[in-house]
Amino acid sequence: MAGDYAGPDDVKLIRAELGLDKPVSTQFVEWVGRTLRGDLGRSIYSGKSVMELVKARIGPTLSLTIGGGLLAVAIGIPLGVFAAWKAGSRWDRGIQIFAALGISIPGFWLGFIMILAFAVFLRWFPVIGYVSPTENFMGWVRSITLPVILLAINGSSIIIRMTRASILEVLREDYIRTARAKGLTNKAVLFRHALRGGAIPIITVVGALAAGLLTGVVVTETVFTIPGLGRLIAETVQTRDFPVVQSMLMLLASLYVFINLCVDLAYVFFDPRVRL
Amino acid sequence: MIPDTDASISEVDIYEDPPLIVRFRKIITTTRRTLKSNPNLLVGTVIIAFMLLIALLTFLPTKDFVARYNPQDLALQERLESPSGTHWFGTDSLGRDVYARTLHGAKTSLRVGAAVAILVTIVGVSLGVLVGYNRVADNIVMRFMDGMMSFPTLILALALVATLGSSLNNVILVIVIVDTPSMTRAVRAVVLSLRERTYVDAARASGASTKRILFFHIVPNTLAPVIIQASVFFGGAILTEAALGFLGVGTPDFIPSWGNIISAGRGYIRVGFWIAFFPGVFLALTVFAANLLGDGLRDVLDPRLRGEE
Repeated sequence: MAGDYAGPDDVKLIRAELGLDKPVSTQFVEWVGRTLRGDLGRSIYSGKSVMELVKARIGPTLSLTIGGGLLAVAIGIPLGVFAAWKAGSRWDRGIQIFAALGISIPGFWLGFIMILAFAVFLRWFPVIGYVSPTENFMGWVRSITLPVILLAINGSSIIIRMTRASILEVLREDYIRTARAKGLTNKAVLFRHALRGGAIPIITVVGALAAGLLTGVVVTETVFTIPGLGRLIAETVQTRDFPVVQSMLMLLASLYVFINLCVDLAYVFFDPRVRL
Repeated sequence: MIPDTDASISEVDIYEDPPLIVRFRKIITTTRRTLKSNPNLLVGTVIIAFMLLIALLTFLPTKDFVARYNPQDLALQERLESPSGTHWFGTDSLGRDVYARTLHGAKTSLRVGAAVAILVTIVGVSLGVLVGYNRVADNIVMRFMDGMMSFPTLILALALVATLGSSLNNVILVIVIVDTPSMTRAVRAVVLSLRERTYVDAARASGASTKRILFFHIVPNTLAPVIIQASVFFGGAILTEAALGFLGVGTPDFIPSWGNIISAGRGYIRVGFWIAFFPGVFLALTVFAANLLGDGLRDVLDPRLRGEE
């Protein structure tokens, strides 16, 4: 930071400027105090405040996570239910293999292959970068298509596995047998009975999906060189810009806890047996 | 129990264990039957065994024969060559042989996977049994674990590696730290349900000490879920190591790992896609195999969780 020719005095000056000359405990208490007052600190390098950085970079991340999350749910839940319904069939096997691959194949490598195939060879999409939707709407769609698909492949795989397991469990319940014995059609059993009973565990999926997306976005933005929050974390970790890393981690963790709280509250709404 | 050789042979004890060779044969037949009836387990085992073989061959003096080149040898006049008879997977931006680097990368990845699986098992089982049996420890340890679980794992690992510095051991340590909470939680849940079982009451009624109950009745019964979890962490650790390497904070460059090879090849997508392509195939295969192995083990060890009836 101080450059190659910095003398001990320069180092001392910088340490004092950053507050590093105080004991760790004092630094920590000061950090907690500032954070509680809403001051998330400043980047050591650019001098910009964390809030400024977040504001400048939240757009791409929101586009990716919302797009990826919706697509993941739209693919994952129907496929998961279908696999459970046709358990043991060829369809089930195929869907399970897709899910297993989606979880195993590293996102950064799959992203690389997607860029290679669709951007470098076929030239359907831009290789890297992000275009803001206010600037050029079609450009925005083109720039986020591949990253959103990448996020959705991993996300939907998680959803498929959890949905399939929970629906299978429900299908084994007595009330499903009763419904069948009453002579209800397959369709009625599935939509009116099984899905309703399986809704609770599926909500849990949202919590798992949130974790998957938050992690996925760091890797995805790095692969596609998209200037979002994930890339910000990866960059600041590499340059050891600790004030930014620290505050970003805290923001993400709070977001994650908040999502899980919403999930828990949703249980109460869907299942009257659960009390707060 | 090991058959007691001093016992008089004239008396036939029907409770005595069969000789070792018979038991060994039985283990072989059961294993073969299990593998045959469970394709997931079979495929997973075969791929992992193959990768282990590569790791072993590149570790032993056979390495130059198997990998054909030294993974660190620079040859700047041969940089970015496409795959050919001389360089099977091509060369990278410094002229290093990608095939050699990929094979040597297996060593790194499997080492990380195995070390994490073993360490997480040791720490997780100890903590899980402790908190499952001690209310005070439970409250303290589990609140701490809840705190750690409120961070998405890769992001926490990223921050920890950044703080500790990039080295192979730090990568292993960090992955162990972020994985321990879920292992502890899994073990704790099993211990909590086991301690209410009648056979534990029976053991206590017959005067067994807490230590004896823990080590002879509780811990052995946590084995099935622990093995399943450990196989998941094995694959997960390999993936996390690679992701950290890809993000540029993982295993340093002089130790070839699939993650850092892919990371190094990322900038050469137009002129040298093979650099990142081949190690990625190995990485994806290994993680896929680990997940298959986990699913297979779960089917065998815990039939209640099986997908099909």
